[in-house]
Amino acid sequence: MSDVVVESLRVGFTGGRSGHMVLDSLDLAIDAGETFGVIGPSGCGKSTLLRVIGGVERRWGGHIRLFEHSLAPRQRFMGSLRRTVQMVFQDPYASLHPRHTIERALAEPLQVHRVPQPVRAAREALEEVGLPASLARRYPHQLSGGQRQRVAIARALLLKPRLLLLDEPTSALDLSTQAGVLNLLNRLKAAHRMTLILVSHDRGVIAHLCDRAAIMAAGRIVRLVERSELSED
Amino acid sequence: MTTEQPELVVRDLSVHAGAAEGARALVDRISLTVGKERVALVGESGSGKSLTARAIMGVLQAPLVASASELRFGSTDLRALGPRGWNALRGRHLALVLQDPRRALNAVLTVGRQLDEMVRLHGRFPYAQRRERIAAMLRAVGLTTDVLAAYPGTLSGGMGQRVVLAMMLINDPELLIADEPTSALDEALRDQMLELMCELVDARGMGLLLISHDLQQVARYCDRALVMFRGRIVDECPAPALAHSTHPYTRTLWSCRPSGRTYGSDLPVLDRDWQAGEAVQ
Repeated sequence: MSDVVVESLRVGFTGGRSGHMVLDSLDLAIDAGETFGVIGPSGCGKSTLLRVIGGVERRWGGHIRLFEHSLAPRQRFMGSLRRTVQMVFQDPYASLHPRHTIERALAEPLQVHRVPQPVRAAREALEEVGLPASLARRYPHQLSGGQRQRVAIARALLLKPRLLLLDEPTSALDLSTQAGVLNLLNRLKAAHRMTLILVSHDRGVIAHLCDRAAIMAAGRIVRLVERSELSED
Repeated sequence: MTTEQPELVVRDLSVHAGAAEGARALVDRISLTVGKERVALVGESGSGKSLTARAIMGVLQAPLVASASELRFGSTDLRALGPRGWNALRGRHLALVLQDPRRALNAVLTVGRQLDEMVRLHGRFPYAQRRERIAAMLRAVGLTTDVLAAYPGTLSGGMGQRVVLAMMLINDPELLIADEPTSALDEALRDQMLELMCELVDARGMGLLLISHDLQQVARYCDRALVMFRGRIVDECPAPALAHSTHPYTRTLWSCRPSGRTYGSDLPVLDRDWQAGEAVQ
């Protein structure tokens, strides 16, 4: 059974009379446990697709089903979806509060969801992504780019999501740091049995990590690519 | 590789954080020369490649200080240059292209104004002649004169970088230093941009110092490559031979790029503890 089903999804930003369609009747089905890649040039709508599935962008039309929940446009995520869908953004510096310590940033979602012993869980999460627990007292600007992205991944994993959305998770990192983060994602994917949606403009990253991928252009999925074809890259 | 009369000579260049004795060396006694060729400086973030470029251009920010036993461009000793000397040199003989065109351009001036300023700063030409030169330069970087009236914010990343390149090349400099010129662009644009850059550099008989963390890119576009690690040059080879380098650091940098063939396997990561002491030279 598919974890994510998207049918005739439309997203448009209307400015004045001329409306611009960012996503135009897009269909997609992603299976449970699959790592699905979305690839395309800047401005093709791939990030918007991810933001709609993640509940960040709520103005859309069409049908979306996540697990057993049907989503309705303009509504915030309710109930268990708030835990089971998590997102990692492109720029790890912009996605961490500059005046909160790493510990506080990690413990916050746990406190919100009333998970017992948030601080201890936060420290364990740091270790899981390969960072020493001593980093917990630092602020984001005191970490390197690769470390910050690991913190962002740790935060997304804390609530044990079933669906992890990754928006260009390594494009702000250089190649050698990217390798470390990709290895981490590979390991977590095997350990947690999550469904992953990975958006990237880098064919190499998609081919390295994904079981299947969609090539997007101008708001539509142009082609679906199977694993056998990805291996040729 | 035959190199006639090197244009840029750097010997024992160091960059320290502060002038005090015992300050940490961010760039540690590196030497290089760039003639009419394409030289690449590669390494990961924090290895000192950008600082090297900034030291050569004389634009280090305090408290960073550079020192060198020789820092020469053509017949000019860069160490002895005053502000006026630098102004005459930068943009006319030495040009720098940075990573992000959105930050390199002035957001409140039109592209035309900025290009025109560049020409006027380094010579007196009548308006018609300046306009002609700007139009020709824009054609060379693949833009039309339509962008003259545009503000940088309305350009795409690729167009912005072309405008920056046009600004830098309009005075026919002898050496172009490009600091990660394609990192802010998406993949399809990267090759286009580099091809354009190399084409222009070759056509004008210039030298290019390309700073990059992408070894495959460097191997395709450059003649020589210098590999930096923690402020030192640890490996040096012809760029096409980067794939066969025997140095452990270069090998990891080369092979850590993900692709379809690496699916399901771990990518090599740097063992940051290997002996940095065994630097070449």
